[in-house]
Amino acid sequence: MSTLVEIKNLEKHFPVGKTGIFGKHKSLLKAVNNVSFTIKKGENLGLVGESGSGKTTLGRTLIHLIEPTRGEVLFNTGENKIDIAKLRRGELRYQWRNMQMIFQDPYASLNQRMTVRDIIGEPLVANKLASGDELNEKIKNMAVLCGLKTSQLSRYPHAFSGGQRQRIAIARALIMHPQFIVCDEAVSALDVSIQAQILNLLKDLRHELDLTYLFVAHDLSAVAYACDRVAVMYLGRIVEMAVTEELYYKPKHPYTEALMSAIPPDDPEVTMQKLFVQGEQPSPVNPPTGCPFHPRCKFADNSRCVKELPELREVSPEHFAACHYAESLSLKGALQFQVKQRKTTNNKQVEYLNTKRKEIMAKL
Amino acid sequence: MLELIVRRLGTTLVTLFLLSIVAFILIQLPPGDFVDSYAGKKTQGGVVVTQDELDAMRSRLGLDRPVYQQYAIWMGDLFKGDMGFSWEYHRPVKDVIGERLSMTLVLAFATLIFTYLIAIIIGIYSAVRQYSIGDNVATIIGYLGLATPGFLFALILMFLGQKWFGVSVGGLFSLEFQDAPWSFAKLMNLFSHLWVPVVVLGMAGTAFQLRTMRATLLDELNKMYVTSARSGGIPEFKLLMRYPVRMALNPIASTLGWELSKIVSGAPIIGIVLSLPTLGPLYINSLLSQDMYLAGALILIFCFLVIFGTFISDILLMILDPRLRTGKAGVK
Amino acid sequence: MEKTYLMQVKNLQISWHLDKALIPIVCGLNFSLEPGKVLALVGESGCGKSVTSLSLLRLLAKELKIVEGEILFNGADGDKTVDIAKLNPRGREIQEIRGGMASMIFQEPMSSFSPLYTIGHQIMEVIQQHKKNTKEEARATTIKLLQKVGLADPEKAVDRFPGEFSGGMRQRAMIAKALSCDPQLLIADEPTTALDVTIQAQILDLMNEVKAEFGTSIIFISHDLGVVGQIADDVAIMYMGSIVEKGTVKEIFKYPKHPYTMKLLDAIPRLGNLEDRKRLEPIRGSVPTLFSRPKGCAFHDRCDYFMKGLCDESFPGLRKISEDQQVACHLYKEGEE
Ligand SMILES: Nc1ncnc2c1ncn2[C@@H]1O[C@H](COP(=O)(O)OP(=O)(O)OP(=O)(O)O)[C@@H](O)[C@H]1O
Ligand SMILES: Nc1ncnc2c1ncn2[C@@H]1O[C@H](COP(=O)(O)OP(=O)(O)O)[C@@H](O)[C@H]1O
Ligand code: SF4
Ligand code: SF4
Ligand SMILES: [Mg+2]
Ligand SMILES: [Mg+2]
Repeated sequence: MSTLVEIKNLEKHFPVGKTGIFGKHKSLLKAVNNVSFTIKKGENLGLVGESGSGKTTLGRTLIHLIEPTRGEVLFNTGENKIDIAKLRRGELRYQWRNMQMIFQDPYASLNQRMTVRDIIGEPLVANKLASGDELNEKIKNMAVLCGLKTSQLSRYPHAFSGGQRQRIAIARALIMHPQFIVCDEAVSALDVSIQAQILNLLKDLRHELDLTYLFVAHDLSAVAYACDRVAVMYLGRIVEMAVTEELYYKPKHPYTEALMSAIPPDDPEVTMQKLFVQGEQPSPVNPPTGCPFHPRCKFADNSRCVKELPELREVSPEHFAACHYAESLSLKGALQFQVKQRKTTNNKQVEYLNTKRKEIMAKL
Repeated sequence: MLELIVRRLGTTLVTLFLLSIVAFILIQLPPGDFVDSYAGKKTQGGVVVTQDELDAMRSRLGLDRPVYQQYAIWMGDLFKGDMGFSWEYHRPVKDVIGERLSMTLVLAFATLIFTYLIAIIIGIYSAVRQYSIGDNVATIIGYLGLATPGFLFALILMFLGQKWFGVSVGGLFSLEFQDAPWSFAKLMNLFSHLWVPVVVLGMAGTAFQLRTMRATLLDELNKMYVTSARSGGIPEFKLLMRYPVRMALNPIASTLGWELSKIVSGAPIIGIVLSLPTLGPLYINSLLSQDMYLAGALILIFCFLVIFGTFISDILLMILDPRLRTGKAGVK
Repeated sequence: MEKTYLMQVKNLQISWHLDKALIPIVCGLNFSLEPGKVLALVGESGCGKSVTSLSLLRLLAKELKIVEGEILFNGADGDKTVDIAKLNPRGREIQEIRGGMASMIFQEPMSSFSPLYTIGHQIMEVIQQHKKNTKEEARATTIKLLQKVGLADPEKAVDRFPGEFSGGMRQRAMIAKALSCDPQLLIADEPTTALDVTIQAQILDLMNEVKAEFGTSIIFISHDLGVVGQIADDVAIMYMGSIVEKGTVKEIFKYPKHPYTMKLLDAIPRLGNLEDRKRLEPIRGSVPTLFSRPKGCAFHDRCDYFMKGLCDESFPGLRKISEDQQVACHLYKEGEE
């Protein structure tokens, strides 16, 4: 697979704390700290991590919704590579056709005063890409593709449920046929039954429209289901990145192991083991020295881990980890914590209910 | 906390200094000066004043000097405690202001206390008993209070007082006490007159603060922390006062300075209508006759009152809200 | 032998009073809780979990009213049963129960403490309300509690303001507050939903410890079945304000009987067999709004087994199909599995 986006040393700092006499901020919060990785064309790359680890900030900086502090984001348009991080407003607006973002809150992200048709079509109208019948046709096609009914197009967003609103937001993001979509917690606010609908929709659209996703979420099971590769963030850095099965089943970073140990098992008869990590993520304003995870890491030593920052490196083919001892540690994966797997609905019950239904219906 | 107060005092002084410059420029702005308006009056009275006389007068008063020098002289005198001389009244400004200042202060603070007491009590009642008859009545009165201009209200009160009780509600004292020395009886007499200007001056502010109090409290009442505290078995009244009400006092306390400034600026017109022995009417006169030092001193006093109000409201906020005191807000 | 219940809810109905109209939110809930057990209420958002839990301590907003039903509570001394549904929500009796015999933990740890008082102050207030403790005694108890729930440096933490705590720390403090008067019943409304998985695991651990150490009965509300599996003994699945299936954790997870429960379990992404990741099986349609509650079985417009003339006509009550399992569906008859 070819590379779609190449991120090099990307950083985003926020000034924080009380301002001193000369209006200078006392400290810097490094929300994204020297992050480098690549996103392959056509993949769905997951981004997980605890709250405050910098997932949202990374997603936004990446498509230049917020100004990066430094670093490069090379976007491969097919013809040439463009550094998104350096673009100015005008060029950026042009490039944004290629990259879109879907947000968590389908309530807040839609203009309540516009009809669904206008909401979906707005990017085309604003960029003067279509009008009249052509516009209508495009809107209709995209709406249907996203599971909306054409009869719903003239209604307003408040008349829709959370899941339907998310469909509208997706249709709007896709109307300009972008190549790259950042989904920031796009299914987190939805109920499980609806979440499954949207996850399926995103999956179908990816194949149909040849999309690439950066899928930001904190729900590890949803990410495992949706993504081909996953990156784990901790205190503004990527600490591990690998193909989903590798990362979940054979993690190479103690923090990933800790995350896996925290997922409640599917089976109520499997009791969770004592958590592999204590305490909480420290404040990103003064991160620990050396390895940022060392205060919580049960493998930490008193020398290297405290003093030296482990770089993200390829520890086995296509498997990156930022831990000094990545090769030598033997860590448990999700399956070791989840000994048995819950079966999906047993088909016998479904069959049984179907015959029963027939019986009852016959009597009616 | 002490450090914060000291810092606030510092900024207060700086603001006051800047304001004195603004005040000085403001009173210089209208065309002409005191001498012109003096000449105008004389001419109207049929007296002929020559240009020489006027020039002599200008140089005596210092009006022929450049503006910044005039300001420097004024400031220098101020630091010595000398507020200058009122040309209109032929007396030192200090004497002219004299007792009127204390009356103004009494009126302003009485109004402030009235405003906040009524607004808080009725605001709490209105929020807790939302849509009750009492709440609806308070809301209607509140709207009326906001919509009626103060001077009109003053006129209505004067008219009604005259018609129904045959008493004059103007002034702050009855005739027999006007020039009497201070005594308990005079104080009582003051209070019996004070309520009219207090109500007139405080009406709009009370209505406004009441609405703020009601709205914020309604918001706070629905917050999770209230239900959470209730789930601990705290009795309703205690709960109400300690949790949502205390939170709802914040926006009210933070507008105290602003409220005081509205009272101060509303006072002159109502002062004239109700013929009050306060600074207000004096201030309007001094502006009309371009009595520079008097006007300047009055503007400074008014500004000081407003800044003082803001200062008090900052302190109140710090007492009410530990997040401001400890500076530890927003730590995640 | 008659089982003894700590709490028994009978035909609980709660409505939203909107102008003159009555909109049902909770429709005839029945469940009971044995001492020392954990009962989980599970359902999608808006199905009435929070409304139910608030009603148990009469904490409902003004516009929500209990229109019928009983909430029998056996927590009072001397085996006296009180019907909480009949108490004055602003009266003394309910105030003695709240925070004393029964207490509550909320979903949003960020907003469940007033930012204006220290954590310690807000816990001590509850202690002093229920026990005749001096300030010093209450403070000492508070420090012990904070230590118990695993807050680092409890002596300092007691004087901290909520703004200085992270979400996880606040939830620990909230648990300390809820435990402060040794309640027999703890109602926890999605206590881990707003937390990270790691913190969630820590809080679950803590609640399991509490249950083991004090024998506290817990009503645990959640939409996350994985979490529920780790803490509950019994589970009640709710849909649009009523219980559609009830049973032991094992029965519900392994042998779900109600079509909604079956579908719900299928819709969850799971970690096993990542290699042959299949499509998820979502439930079609979406939860109806309060204003368009379907007639008969509330699930009928989304159900694969919908039987015209039956499901859209009559409401299926809960029926007992085995010792530990009850289902509200026309496909089942009393006593038959
Ligand atoms: N505008 C801002 N100013 C200051 N700090 C910020 C700003 N935006 C984000 N941060 C900080 O940057 C860090 C990373 O935030 P970010 O929102 O990217 O986290 P996240 O991983 O998306 O968390 P969540 O899972 O809660 O969404 C946090 O510590 C946050 O407080
Ligand atoms: N104060 C209220 N006024 C009107 N409707 C309410 C109120 N509180 C909750 N509801 C409605 O009652 C239903 C159940 O709510 P809730 O118990 O909070 O659901 P959940 O199961 O997500 O906790 C929802 O449809 C909600 O909109
Ligand atoms: S570098 Fe050291 S502290 Fe960091 S994760 Fe590896 S073992 Fe733990
Ligand atoms: S009662 Fe009918 S509609 Fe409801 S769950 Fe059972 S089969 Fe489905
Ligand atoms: Mg985020
Ligand atoms: Mg809820």
